[in-house]
Amino acid sequence: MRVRVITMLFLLAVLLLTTGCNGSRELDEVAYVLTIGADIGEGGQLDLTYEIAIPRAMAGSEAAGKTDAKKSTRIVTITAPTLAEGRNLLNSVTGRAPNLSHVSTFVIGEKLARKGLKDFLGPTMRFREFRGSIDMVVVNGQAKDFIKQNSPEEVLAPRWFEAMFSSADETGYYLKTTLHEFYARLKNGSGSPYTSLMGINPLKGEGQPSGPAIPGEKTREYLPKDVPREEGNPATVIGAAVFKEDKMVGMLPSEETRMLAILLGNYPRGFMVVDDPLAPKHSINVNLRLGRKAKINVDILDGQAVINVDVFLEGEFTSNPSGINYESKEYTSLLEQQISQTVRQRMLQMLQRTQTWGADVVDFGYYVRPQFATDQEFKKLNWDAIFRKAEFNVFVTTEIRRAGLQRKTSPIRTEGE
Amino acid sequence: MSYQSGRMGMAEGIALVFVICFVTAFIGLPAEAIDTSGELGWFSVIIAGFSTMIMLFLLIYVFQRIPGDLFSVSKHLFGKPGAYVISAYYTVMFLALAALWIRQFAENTLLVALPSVNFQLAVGWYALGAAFIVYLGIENIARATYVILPFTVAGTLFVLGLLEPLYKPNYLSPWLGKGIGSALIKGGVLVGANAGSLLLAVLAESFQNVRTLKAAAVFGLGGSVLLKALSVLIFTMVFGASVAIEKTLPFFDMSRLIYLTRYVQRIESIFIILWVMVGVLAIAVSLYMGIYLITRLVNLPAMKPLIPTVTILIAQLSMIPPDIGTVFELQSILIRGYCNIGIYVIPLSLFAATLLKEKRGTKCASG
Repeated sequence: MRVRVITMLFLLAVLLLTTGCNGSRELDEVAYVLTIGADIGEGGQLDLTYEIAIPRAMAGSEAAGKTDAKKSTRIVTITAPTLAEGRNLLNSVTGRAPNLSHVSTFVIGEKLARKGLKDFLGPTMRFREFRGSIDMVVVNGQAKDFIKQNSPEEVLAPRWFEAMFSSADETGYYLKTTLHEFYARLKNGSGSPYTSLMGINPLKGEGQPSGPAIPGEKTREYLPKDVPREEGNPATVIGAAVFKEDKMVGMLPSEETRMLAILLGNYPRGFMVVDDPLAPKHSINVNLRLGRKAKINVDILDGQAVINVDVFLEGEFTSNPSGINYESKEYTSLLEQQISQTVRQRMLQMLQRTQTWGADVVDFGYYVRPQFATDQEFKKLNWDAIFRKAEFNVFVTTEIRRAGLQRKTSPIRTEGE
Repeated sequence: MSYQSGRMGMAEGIALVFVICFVTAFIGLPAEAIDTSGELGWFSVIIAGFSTMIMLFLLIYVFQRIPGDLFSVSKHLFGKPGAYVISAYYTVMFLALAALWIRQFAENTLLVALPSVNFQLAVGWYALGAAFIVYLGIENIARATYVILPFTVAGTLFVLGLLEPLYKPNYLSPWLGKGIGSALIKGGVLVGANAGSLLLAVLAESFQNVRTLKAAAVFGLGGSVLLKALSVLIFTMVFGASVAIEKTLPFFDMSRLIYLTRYVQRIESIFIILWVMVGVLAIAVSLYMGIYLITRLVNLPAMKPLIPTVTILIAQLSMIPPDIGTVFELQSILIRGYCNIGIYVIPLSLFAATLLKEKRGTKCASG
């Protein structure tokens, strides 16, 4: 009987004390920050740009379909010494309790990235409202300009970031990087961090490639501002920002970022356009994908590293305007060689560029780790110094598996035939 | 109710040992194992489990020869003073574990789930919850634990499995971490994380026979050690040793990283419930063991009147450390130092005394 009475009293106490969530707030009392932009502000402070959701604008089924991104969020820029103080000041601006647990993207301005992210990253790993799955991007310019000028079709601008990253596997021109991945590379002995590169395109259609084309390649490579385009959302995601320690040291344009994606084993598919080997004025489109993950082997002899990379690509060609019978094996091999050669050269270009920065962005050091028995031995190696002097042997093999929906190409009829 | 702990079977034994040993995976053990042994942290967890298992089997050997519980066996082998010293030692150990776990779980609740809650209230809720469970008796605790056991195992495996896209196997290398010697020695010292499994000795009589004790040791301790080692292994593969050692709440941080699609993410709140349940049950089991030992020590007819008093004292005790850093230091002293006496010295002494007694008995019989 006594047990029952005590149980009843206990349950009663639970009922009385758990009538609602502790510390709960209504939706209209909270400012849900969705994106945080960070730039260098005056006097070495941070210019923090917060993109805050306006739930009211998204409410209602009819409105939800029509609301544009600008109306569903509002943007506030605050100059503060740290993220924490920015959050404090945000509370004074919005009149709502700031909540950072829905932040999906950190947009970092180029100047800040080049200065170093050590101070910025500190609270992001320690404060519970931030999580490792937040995407990290660097803007080729200022983060606040990017956030303000980004005008996607999505109801919420942060949904645009999510959509962009979920479609990164269509080309390999940019790579999704989370805070966790960035931070793990910063601390774990080898491998330089990288993020995708974004920028505001002038939309004048006058953009120029960021470098010369590789012989045999029709594709040109671009940084966000240089993509020749007009109209639409000026926000453009293309390329990668490469870091040495916590400081950004350079930018990889689109094609080199794709090479990075191939080496990281993160290249599900993407079109490559090459010269027709027998009729170079024509171009051939090939939809390529990784046949298997790149085989990477690092040999270290007397402090000199030889990095052997073996890439196997397979693909399907989707255009053949010259009419040469590339569907037959004898011609296919010519095309395969052309692709392999182009990819190899582009890959070497990317590796040499990152080597001069001293940034092992592929994380070849990751493949060295198993060669050492203990932490002490691995730390003694000084991988960063070895990487700068490493020699690369890159082998690329391409296998054209399919020829699209045409089994052969008949030539275009000309007069007199 | 008297101090008699009731009668339990294999399932109850496995569940009790599992929950009290596994709870450390939800707090600092994975980061601590990696901090001490580097990439070989998972192995040091296995070493710690293996060492504890050997000691448990030595104790089971003792109970095979001399039936009874820890108090009566100690009394038989070392006399009344010896039994008092041993029981007092284990009382302090279990109550200290309960106090540290109350504090850590309260702090963690504030840290990850309810930041606005008053600290004393959080401590009070954990203490109250544990006291209420203790009031129901060890048989009921064991059965409740047995019910949540599959969910604990499945939940843990679920989180570890969903992190597969983030596995980086080479983060487990250099394979020997800080050295095999270091892993063996540090693993041996980390046995304190399994100190709760000594409840099998304290409640030996309740488990009826040696077969039950052996099964509880093998499956309860073995299962929890394997799951802990797997957690540490995957924790290392996901974060790398350098980042892993920074984490206060490894399991929480792992569950927060899960992002499969836009629709499968932010699922850590499900697992907070899981670790709170495991935490409250582990605190309740430790509290029960401490109170039970006090009852045996001073030969009280019943233990229930002690529950509120001891719980309040333990809750107060848990609030004494001024900050979480001090709590970690105290836990380190408890696990790496104090508990080792209970895991190595006392079982070995009991075992040696039993052998000596047997030898003398044989001599007398033959003489």
